Amino acid sequence: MSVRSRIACRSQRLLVLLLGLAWLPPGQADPPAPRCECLVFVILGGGVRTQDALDRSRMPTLDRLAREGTLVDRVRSEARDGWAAAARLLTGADEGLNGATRRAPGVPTILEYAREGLALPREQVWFLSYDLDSDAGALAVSTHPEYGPSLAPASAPPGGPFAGPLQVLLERMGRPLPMPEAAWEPLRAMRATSRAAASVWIPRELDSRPADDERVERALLRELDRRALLVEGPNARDEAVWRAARTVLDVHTPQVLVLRLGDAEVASADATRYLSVLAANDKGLGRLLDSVEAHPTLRGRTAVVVALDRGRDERQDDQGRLRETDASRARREVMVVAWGAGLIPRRKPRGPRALEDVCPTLGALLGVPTPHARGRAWDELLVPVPPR
Amino acid sequence: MGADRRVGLRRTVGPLLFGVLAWGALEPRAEEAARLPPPPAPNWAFYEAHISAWVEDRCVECHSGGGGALRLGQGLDVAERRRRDFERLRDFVDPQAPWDSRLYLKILEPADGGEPHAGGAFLARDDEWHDRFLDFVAGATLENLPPEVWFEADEIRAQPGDAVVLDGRGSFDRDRADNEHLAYHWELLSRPAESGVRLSDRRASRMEVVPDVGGTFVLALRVSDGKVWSAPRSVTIEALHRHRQAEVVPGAVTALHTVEEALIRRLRRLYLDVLGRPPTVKEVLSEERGGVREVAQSILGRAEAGRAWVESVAAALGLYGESRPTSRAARDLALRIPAESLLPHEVEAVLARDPAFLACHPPGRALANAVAGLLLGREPTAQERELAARLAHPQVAEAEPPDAAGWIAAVCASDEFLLAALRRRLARFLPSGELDRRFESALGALRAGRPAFRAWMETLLADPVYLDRRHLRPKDDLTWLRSVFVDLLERRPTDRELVALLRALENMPPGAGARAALVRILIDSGEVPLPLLVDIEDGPRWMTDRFLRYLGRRPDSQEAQVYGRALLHPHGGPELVVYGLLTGVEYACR
Repeated sequence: MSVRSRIACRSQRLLVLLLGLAWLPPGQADPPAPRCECLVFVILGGGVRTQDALDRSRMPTLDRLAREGTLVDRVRSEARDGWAAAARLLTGADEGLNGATRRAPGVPTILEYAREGLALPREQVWFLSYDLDSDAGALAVSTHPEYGPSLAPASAPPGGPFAGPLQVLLERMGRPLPMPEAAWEPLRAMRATSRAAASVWIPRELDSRPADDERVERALLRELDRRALLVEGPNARDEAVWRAARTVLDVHTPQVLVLRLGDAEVASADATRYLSVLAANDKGLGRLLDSVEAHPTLRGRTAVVVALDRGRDERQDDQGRLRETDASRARREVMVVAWGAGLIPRRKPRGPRALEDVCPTLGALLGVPTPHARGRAWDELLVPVPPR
Repeated sequence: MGADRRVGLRRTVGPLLFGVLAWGALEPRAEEAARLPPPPAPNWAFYEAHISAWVEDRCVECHSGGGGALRLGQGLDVAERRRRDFERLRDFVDPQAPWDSRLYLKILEPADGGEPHAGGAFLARDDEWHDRFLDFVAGATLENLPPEVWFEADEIRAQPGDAVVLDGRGSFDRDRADNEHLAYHWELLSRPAESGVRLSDRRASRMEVVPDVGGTFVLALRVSDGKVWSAPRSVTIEALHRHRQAEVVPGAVTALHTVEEALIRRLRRLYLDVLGRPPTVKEVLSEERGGVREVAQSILGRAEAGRAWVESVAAALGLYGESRPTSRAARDLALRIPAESLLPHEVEAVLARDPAFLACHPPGRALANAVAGLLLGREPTAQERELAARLAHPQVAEAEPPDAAGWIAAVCASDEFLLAALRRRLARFLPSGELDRRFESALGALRAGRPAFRAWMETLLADPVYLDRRHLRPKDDLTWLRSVFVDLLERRPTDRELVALLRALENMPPGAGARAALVRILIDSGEVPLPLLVDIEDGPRWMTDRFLRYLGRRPDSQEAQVYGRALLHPHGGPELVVYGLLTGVEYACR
């Protein structure tokens, strides 16, 4: 049956017309988003099928981003494991390229490109990984002679960027108590009075904005206080990453923040638990977006890109597991969702797509060259901006 | 001999700050100690017989191309190549602590305490080759394996007055099953400045130490099998004051209200700038009678002043934690500063030339930035960048390959470095405008020699202009950390605490937020003797006492009202008042 014959009546034609308008190049329909000043790149790793990631009932936040932003589906993922897939996403090249060691890629990562291209200090570029206590941190820094450790991003141990290094002290002294909300008002008053008393001689270096200081203080206390030890839910390691990410956003206002999640790998043992992990991670994404929206300088200037690293089998096996054995599309193809500043909503890149395209696309979004990436930048998704 | 036993606990002492000595008030070493031979260094015959083939199999491929700081496989024939390899590898062994040698740690599995290595790890502790390699770095010969010191624990916590027994009888000789023939030798490497602790019998197998004050005590033991003396192994006693109920009367105030405010502020300033910490209440009350010049002279001459200076420079150069200085010159530096009145460039040069500096800032972009930025106070030039790149990737055909250590030595000998080091030292005491004004006179004194510069410093510290509040500068992280510990816990942070705190602040943005969170940890630790509200008999008097303690002044009327309200607030109280004071803008300077 042809499409024309299915649209029989006039009202149906009108409906199709309206739906079609929604898919017009939004460069004409919507005002272009401003330049991306902060990139949050989430690798929803561990092996996640596109169909599970886009389940509206379980993943409302990601579904919203896909609807409001751009969903790039059918992205080829041929990496042999999670590490290799993440390496491809971060470097835009095959993970086995010359110079790679057992864990460090031989080609620069988007984190190194960003630091080099935008001349960013370390604390402006972050890499947070669910397994950073192993040597997965090496993933963020290549062995490339022109890049490498001097352009390494900041990273956080599992305890968090602030609490992690303080572990020795916290074990000895204990964690602070949560501060009651009502205590902030007299505290603010005390600080304001002392500031006024010292106003005639206060050094310029200390003339910061009290609101900024308080935002940082609250974020760090949230990471430190005794409630932080309670990590609930099926995605304990991923949850630590989400928490650290919120701290980093509040404390550092970074320009690049890359999160690598991996608890979904539980699917190989238990598909039901895997779905719970996905739902919990969607909530983590929602909280992170709330932090972005509440941040005075990040709101409206942040791009969020979520990529799956690899898929899984089409069907569960007879023991309720979703493994990585078949050659189905669900296993070989993944999706990328791009949303926010610098991105044109509801665009599709042309031609075949692969994991290796993500790094050059992120580079183009940030306005930095990615000379060693082999993938193709999806320029169709990006708001054209003059070079920095 | 079990690898666990040989490596396990000693790795825990590794991360101690600024070298295990902590550059505290070093015990003058006994003549006898000075006569002990140095620990054995790697032996060529042992290397050739047992290690060379292993190295050639695993290391040469990467390191012949100059991978990392190590360069192997240079030479025309096999014998020459081996000899050169041995000499290069020897530079990466620390005979004073072979188990912490870079060579050993680089090839050890990270799970066993190894360091990141681009070529990966080659040894786990239970590997067959592990013990042999450890024998090599520990100075084994074909005839004798050196003995090793063994303690049950490398770090012990105690309270002042507690008797701590250190038992060295677990030490062993790798050649023999019994240890009856071993000889022992103890050294007290470090103790707090005000401590009078001495060792009773240096040759005993067990040692009893009674810390008389709070602080860090470091002892080292060496053992001999009659042929060689082992490398020393340190044990750290952290004596922490606990405020017993009997010592602290809840809600009581100190006698600070009897001291002139200006004097409290002056003492605070002197202590902060020279000793890197504020005075305790007891010290303020005891210094009250001295003249300004006498106090300045006394403080500059203390071992603690040397320790604080070395700690500050080391922290600025990134040399702490795993990157702590390792050379003997660096270890002795804290004592030499007050004893010999060392000059700023002399102090900094010792640390810059320490092998840890190159390890922390390896050849390449990092070294160029460190040499220019940290040593010379400017951006690197194109030539410096090029030289650093050549150091990272030396060309085999180069007639005279550049030498990183030689470059650093040349920089440290330059007049540019002398000027930069002087400027950094003066910046601790003077704001930039005042520093510019006085720089020429300081330089003149410095060029006239150590006594002249010391006299110049004493004059500066006694100058009323120096104490003017308009010249106040924010405390650096190290000084601020020591301040909160002394003001709240009446002790300096231990080395381990300081490393953790510096690491936490390392990645934090400037501003009060991160520091406030640290104050919260201390206040909620239960170790700060703060009263309950009901224990405070006179609220305004208690608050005034806290203002005098932490800021060196009394509150004005507005502050008295606002802080008083916070004291009585349902979610406030003494803890919130102290939190407010220590996280305020003024405490960041005073």
